[in-house]
Amino acid sequence: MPDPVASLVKGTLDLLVLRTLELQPLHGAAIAERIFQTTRGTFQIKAGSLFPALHRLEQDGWISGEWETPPKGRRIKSYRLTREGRRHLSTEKAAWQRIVAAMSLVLESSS
Amino acid sequence: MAILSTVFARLRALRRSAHADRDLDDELRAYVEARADSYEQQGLGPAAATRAALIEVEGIEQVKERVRDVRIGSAISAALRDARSGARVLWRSPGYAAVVVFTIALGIGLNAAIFSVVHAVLWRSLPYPNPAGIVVIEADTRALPSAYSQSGAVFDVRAQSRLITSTAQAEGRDGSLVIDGVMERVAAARVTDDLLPLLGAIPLTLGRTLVTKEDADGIVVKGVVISHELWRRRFQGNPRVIGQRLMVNNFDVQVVGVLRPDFRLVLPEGNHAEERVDVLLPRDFSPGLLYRGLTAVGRIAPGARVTEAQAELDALAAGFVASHPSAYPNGLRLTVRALSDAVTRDVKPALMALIAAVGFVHLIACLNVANLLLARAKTRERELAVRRALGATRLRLIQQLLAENLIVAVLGGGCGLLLAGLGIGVLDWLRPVHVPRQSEIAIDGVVMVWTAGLTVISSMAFGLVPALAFTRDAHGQSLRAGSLQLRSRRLHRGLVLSEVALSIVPLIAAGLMLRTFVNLLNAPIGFDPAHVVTARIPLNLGAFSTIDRRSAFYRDAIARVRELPGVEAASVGGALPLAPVQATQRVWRSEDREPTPAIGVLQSLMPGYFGVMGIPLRAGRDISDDDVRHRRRVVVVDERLATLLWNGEAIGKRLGVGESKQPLEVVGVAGDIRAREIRDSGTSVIYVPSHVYEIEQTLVVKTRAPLSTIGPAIKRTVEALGPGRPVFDIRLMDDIVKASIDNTRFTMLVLSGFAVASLALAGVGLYGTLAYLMSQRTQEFGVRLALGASAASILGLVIREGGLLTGAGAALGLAGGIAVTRALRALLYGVTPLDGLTIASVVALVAVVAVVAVGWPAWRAARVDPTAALRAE
Repeated sequence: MPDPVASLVKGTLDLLVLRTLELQPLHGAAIAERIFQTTRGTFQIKAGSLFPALHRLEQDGWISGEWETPPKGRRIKSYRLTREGRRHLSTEKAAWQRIVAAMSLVLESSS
Repeated sequence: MAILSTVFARLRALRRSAHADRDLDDELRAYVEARADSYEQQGLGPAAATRAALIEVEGIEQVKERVRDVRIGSAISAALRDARSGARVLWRSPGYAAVVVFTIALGIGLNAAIFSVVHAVLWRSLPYPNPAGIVVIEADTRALPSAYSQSGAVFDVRAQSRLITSTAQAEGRDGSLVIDGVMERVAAARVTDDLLPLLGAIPLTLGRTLVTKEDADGIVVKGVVISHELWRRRFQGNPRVIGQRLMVNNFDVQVVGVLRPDFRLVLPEGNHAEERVDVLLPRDFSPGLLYRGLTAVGRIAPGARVTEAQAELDALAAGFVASHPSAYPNGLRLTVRALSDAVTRDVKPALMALIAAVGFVHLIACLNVANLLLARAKTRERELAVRRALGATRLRLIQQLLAENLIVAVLGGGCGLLLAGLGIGVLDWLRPVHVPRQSEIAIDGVVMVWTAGLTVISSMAFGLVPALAFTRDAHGQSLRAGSLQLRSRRLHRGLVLSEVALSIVPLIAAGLMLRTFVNLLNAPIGFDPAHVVTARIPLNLGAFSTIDRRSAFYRDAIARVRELPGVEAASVGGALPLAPVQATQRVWRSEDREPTPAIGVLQSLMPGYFGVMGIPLRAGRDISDDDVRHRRRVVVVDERLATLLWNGEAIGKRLGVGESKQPLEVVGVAGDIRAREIRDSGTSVIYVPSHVYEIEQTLVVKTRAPLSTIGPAIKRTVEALGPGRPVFDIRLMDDIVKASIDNTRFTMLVLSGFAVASLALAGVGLYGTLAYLMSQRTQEFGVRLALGASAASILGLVIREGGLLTGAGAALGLAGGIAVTRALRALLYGVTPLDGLTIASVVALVAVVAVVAVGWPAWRAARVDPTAALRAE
């Protein structure tokens, strides 16, 4: 099955991740799972796309990763949205909505 | 620099740091476990769930790699951002950028040019396998009175040394080559059998190396090895060249081998060998040659050191002297040194002087750029302060300023390399006669790397000062007023002062070299090269088999040339004074049982030579045609030798020369001339008729006719006498004299170029800084003028400032220059490093430049319009 995300523009994946983290801090696998569930299986994001995106967003300062050691088991790195990330997300959201609206106008117009 | 260091730091941190890698590893493992858990919840067994999770991940290592790429990529893009903004800043002020780039280009370009020379000549290893093991062995000839006359009592290094495993001799000479009736001049060398194996030139491209036993019969040469280039050029690269016959130096020889294309004969200058040698002739090894001043080449045993070989030779020599005390009354001293040292010994002082001078030029250029950057940062003071106040870190600002500098530095370095290419062309054009390995001088990888390193380090050095100075202010003080004014002014002044000081040193060095050159030009060389035309006339020994035939030819040629219109006098002689190759012989009073040693330059001539060359006869008579006809063994000595051997009463005395058993009778005493080099005023010259010492002769013709008409006339006249009488290499005696001081001329010209460059840079720096400082004080001057100060007092103020800077800088520079120019001593002639005239001239020159550089800003300052200046703020 081809990865539908692979054909998505970079900004879309970023947006998905940022939006997912807006609700609560999550670690890598949980982020992928959450996106999978929310989109009802449309976006199945693989590690090869997810982790580069996470690290890029972290370097841009929009999310920050923290190590947590649960009482039992391996330490895990969970990411949360930063203040800047929140601001960035809201502008991106607005932009995305404009794009969606514009695309709908084009695709649904009866010629 | 900032860009590079950031990139490298992040590369290191991410590529190599185990810490970061472990983190990533943990993160991915947790991910895989989480995925496996969810597969297990879907009903898979534990092992199958883990496998499914791993398959889904598609390779943990690949994921890691992509994450690392992201990190590095963003570091590079941050650096590129800096570079782009730096480029924009520069683009907005092209004039400033051009000045900075040009200044850097000048500094870097001159440096790269000289570095490529020094690299090729001094530092690159010799083009032989295991070059460190190749040494030369020199004998101190003065210590030996007459090793010749006592043959058999000659210490043979080759036979007795254990650490020196093989020895060879080589001596360069001119060669004449005739193939299919076409003659050309080539560089030849007589080499012993061991030379090519010793230098690692075996196997040859074709054929075998020389074997003297087979390839020579006494002095008659039968076989030669030719160069790859000659083989391609004259034999069209024909593989069947071995065994082909040709004429070399009038010997009928056959080709026994062809050298490899990259073979170069790199030997000390005293061996007169050309690096691109075309023909190798066989010769026997002879310890006697060593004592005549020809060095031997040796290879030391693997693992042995030059010092150990020296110790061994010392011990052997001491033992030999003890057993043959009469052969070596002055002891015996043999010196072993690395071939690379021996080859570069003569040019090293000059090259070191040049590289030092070019270092000064570069320092001045850097200071100039620092000054410009400082002045420029000043105009951006507010911008920087605002950004600082808005929270930019100091490091970030420094990073950005350095990025800007790096851009100009890289541009400057690039232009510098172009300039260096040009510079090498100029150096080649100024070409001195003998610089070892000259053909290898080029801008290669090493030079590029060096230039890049220099560029980066310089940009760091000159960029850091202003960057630090202008980001120090963390509290936005400069938003209020020009609080940095005072400190930066002091910095400006310090930089300019250093520039002036630094420019003095190359100026003094150039001045001293100029004086040396003039001294050499004006030195009493003892003969008059003016209006003397020379032409070489090697004879075909086949056609002129006896001494009498050869003498007859010289007599005929002289007589015919004398009849040419415009010719005042003509004769033949060889080797001409100050020509690169001179024959030296040991001479002594033949009546002495224990002779006093002396070295004499031997010149062979026909009657009339003294007249043409303008060498005065002090006593006795000239060599006459009668001497030649009766083959009398007579000699004319110079005053120096007459005084040394016979207290001036030389006529009628007998002189022992070289290996000959029969002494020569002194018939005349000539004035002293400088025969070996102009700097050498201590070596005697003896003149013998051409039948006594048969060497290739040169026509010398006194004429006021121009070379372009008389040259061809001489050639036609002599060659018309019959075949086998080639005439070539027609040139003025003046040019031979000039060529003999080419090395000094070269050093002088290049040093002068550097001196001019450094003076110009210092002048520009002085002008720019004063103009800038004055423009900042325009208001102050306006107030002063408004309050009644005269224009003259403002003028005085500026001039005082400029004068002080120049004066202090010059004083500092003179002190430094006096200390530094001592190192030039080896290059100087007739002038000491503390030459008053030179120092005075340099001071005067700097003063003139300072007047111009200070005068203009001062003039402008004095013409400040008070109302305009006060309104300006």
